[in-house]
Amino acid sequence: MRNIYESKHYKLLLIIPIILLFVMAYYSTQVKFGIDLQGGILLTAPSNTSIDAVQLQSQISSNFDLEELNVRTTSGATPGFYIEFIGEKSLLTAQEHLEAKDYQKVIDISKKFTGDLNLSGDLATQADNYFSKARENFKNNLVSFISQQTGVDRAQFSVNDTGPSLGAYFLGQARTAIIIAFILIAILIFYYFKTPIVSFAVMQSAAFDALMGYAALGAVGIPLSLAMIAPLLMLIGYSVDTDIMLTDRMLKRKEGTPAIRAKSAISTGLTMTFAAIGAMLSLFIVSSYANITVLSHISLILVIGLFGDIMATWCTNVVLVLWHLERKAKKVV
Amino acid sequence: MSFLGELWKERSIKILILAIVLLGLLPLGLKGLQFGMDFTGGTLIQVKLDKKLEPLEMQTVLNVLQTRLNAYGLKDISVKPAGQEYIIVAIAETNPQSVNQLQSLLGQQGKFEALFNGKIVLSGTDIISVISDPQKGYGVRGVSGNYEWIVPFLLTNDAANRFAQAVVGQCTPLTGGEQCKEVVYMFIDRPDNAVILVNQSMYDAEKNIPEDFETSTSTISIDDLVKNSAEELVVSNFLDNATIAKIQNRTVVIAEGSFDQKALEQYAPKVIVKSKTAKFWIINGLNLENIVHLTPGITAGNPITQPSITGRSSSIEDAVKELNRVNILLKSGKLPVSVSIGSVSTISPALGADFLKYSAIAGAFAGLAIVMIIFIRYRNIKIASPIILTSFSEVFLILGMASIIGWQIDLVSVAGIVAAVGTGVDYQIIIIDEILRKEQEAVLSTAAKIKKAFSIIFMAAGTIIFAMFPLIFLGLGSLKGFAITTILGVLIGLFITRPAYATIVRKMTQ
Repeated sequence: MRNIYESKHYKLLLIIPIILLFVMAYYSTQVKFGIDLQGGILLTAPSNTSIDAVQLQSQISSNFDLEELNVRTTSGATPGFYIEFIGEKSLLTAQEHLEAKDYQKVIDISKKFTGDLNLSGDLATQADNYFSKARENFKNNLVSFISQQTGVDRAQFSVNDTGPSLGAYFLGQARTAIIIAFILIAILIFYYFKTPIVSFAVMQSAAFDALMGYAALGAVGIPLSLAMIAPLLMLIGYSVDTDIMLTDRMLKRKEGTPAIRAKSAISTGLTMTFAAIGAMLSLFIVSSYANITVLSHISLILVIGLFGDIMATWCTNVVLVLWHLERKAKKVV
Repeated sequence: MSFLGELWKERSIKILILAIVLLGLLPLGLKGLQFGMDFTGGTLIQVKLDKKLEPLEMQTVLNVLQTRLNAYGLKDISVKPAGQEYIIVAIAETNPQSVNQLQSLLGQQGKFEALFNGKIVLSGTDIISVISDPQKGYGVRGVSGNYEWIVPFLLTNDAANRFAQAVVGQCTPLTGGEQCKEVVYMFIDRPDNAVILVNQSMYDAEKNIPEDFETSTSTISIDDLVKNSAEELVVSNFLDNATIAKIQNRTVVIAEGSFDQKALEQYAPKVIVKSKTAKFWIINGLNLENIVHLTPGITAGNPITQPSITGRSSSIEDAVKELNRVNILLKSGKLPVSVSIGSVSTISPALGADFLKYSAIAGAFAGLAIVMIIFIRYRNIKIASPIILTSFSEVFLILGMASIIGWQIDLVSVAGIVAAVGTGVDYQIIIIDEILRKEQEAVLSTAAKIKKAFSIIFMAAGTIIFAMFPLIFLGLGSLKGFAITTILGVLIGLFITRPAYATIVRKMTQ
């Protein structure tokens, strides 16, 4: 095979990642936050009988006033259904009142769910207690209702309920984690390669891959949840492997031209990336079959992100380092 | 044989085998693996505090919550802080009704009550604060071979008056004269005007309850105990008409597994099921926390706004334990912060068991995929087999380390393990390719090539560890497991399995 890096027009390779960048930018805007980052309720239950998701959704929405209700069914090894929504509309309003310290309104709304509880104590405590009791009653009613409609016993339900303030806290922490990880890696890479342009060539790959993973969330329709921070960080750490290997060979070896050295690194690099893709793809297939959502989502994001790494490494990174070496050679002459 | 014999002489191989025994076989064999809630089922409740707490305050809140949950009679509870603002409560319970009750229990303030002769003489709102100042008497001191503990606290004037009137003249001095025979019963969340329904065998087994609920020789009969708690005791083996008449329209407390809750609910509006976590079930049934003797001073009739609760223990450890218990008990009505429920997630045990099975299968398939890709690339079993061997020992060592540090394996950890093994394989590919490079063959020895490969590997491993680092310190719950397993895996790979792998390959190519 011809070595494309020896071509005069090797810089044209950058077109591929640049086009991808636009596609990724579009899908990044499509990413939705999961319930653990924006608050909301997720009910899951196994079911042996087949359930009509559309019918269940309409049954629920005609009895409960829910924000962004989403009902899905799953088949495979553990068939069942997912019911996801941000909250009950009047309770969401009550939540806003609670945050605005408008306690009387919170109590008024909550009483529709709880009746009069004859609570004592100051208004703020009362509002707190009323509100949590209202949420609890609402959840109970909803679970009972769905249990009746589907014939699934109450004890079988898994309930995940996250308040909006906790979600905001997690989101903040997740951002901090990604930023700190990025800075730490940047320092390490600069320390190793010394040259700013080369360090940038390696770091862009980390950013590109993480963005690819993030855009994949939007493209595939996986909500960004706490667990999805794991594959994004993994992509940052993982993808740099091939870039370090490639850049190290291009800069620190002497045999042949840089273009030849880059080409010789491809087989090593692609074996590395495909070993990882292979592992994650099998994880994805088995966990999708078994409906282990967390695992299937993590592995899917990693697979897509790793494909992004192929572009970032063998198009962008190579070109940037070749360019850098070319300019350096000219200066010497 | 000679090949294996030669391998055995190598230091890196010895280290690997030693590690497999010490860090893998031994902990996994002795301690086993702990699985997280993803696999065992259970409920995780995140509690948000309305302000950031200093470690000492946080400890108080944790203790108070733990006491309250224990009082509720739940098994396997863990209460842990997450950052300064959040507390994570994990329980094995998955029944939605119990989980709901638990949630309200966490969200609301505890109800502390002290009863004397079946009447409430003190309640949580009466207590202004607990005085934990040794200058004012708080603490443990040695008194003639015993250890006396004292917890002074501050009462409202109103409560002090009420209390003085309730106990005036009620003292029959015990030997020594420092304590009276009369006692006050203390509760947290005492069932309100309830019927305690027990069967004959339970009644017989718990006829006499030691004052310290454990081994004390001075005892109180179960009948007196229930009467002094202002509840009613009904002993019956069946739900006959006489029993039904007694529980009609009342709150009923029963022991787990004794009566049929559904059947009782036909007659009683509220049925509370308590499991037995204390030595005597009745202590759980009544939510009784402590029995304290009156003192002659307190029964003299003068209102005392700064009374104290005291007692004696034979060892200093017991005295300190009692001191802390009473301290927490008095504070239980009042957490230093107000709390709200942040998130609740329940995983049913059946689903968890399935998850575990399929996670293991998924892991196995991931391994298989790696082997296939390696084999397709190199078409050489001699190269592929050591990779399988090292990857296997890596998984084994990660699990062993998780067992040692007591880390609970959950779903995200599984992804972490696969990811760590995946990077491990990457490094082995770098080593292999470095050795197989034709261009350098004449110039460098195998050992020198491996050394070159390792500079790349150290760098690459560094980036993964740095990427995971922030997750360990941020309050992101389950992601900590991912970070820990990945970092452990990479470190094990770097210092134990990779050098061994390099040695095997070097020996093979020689």
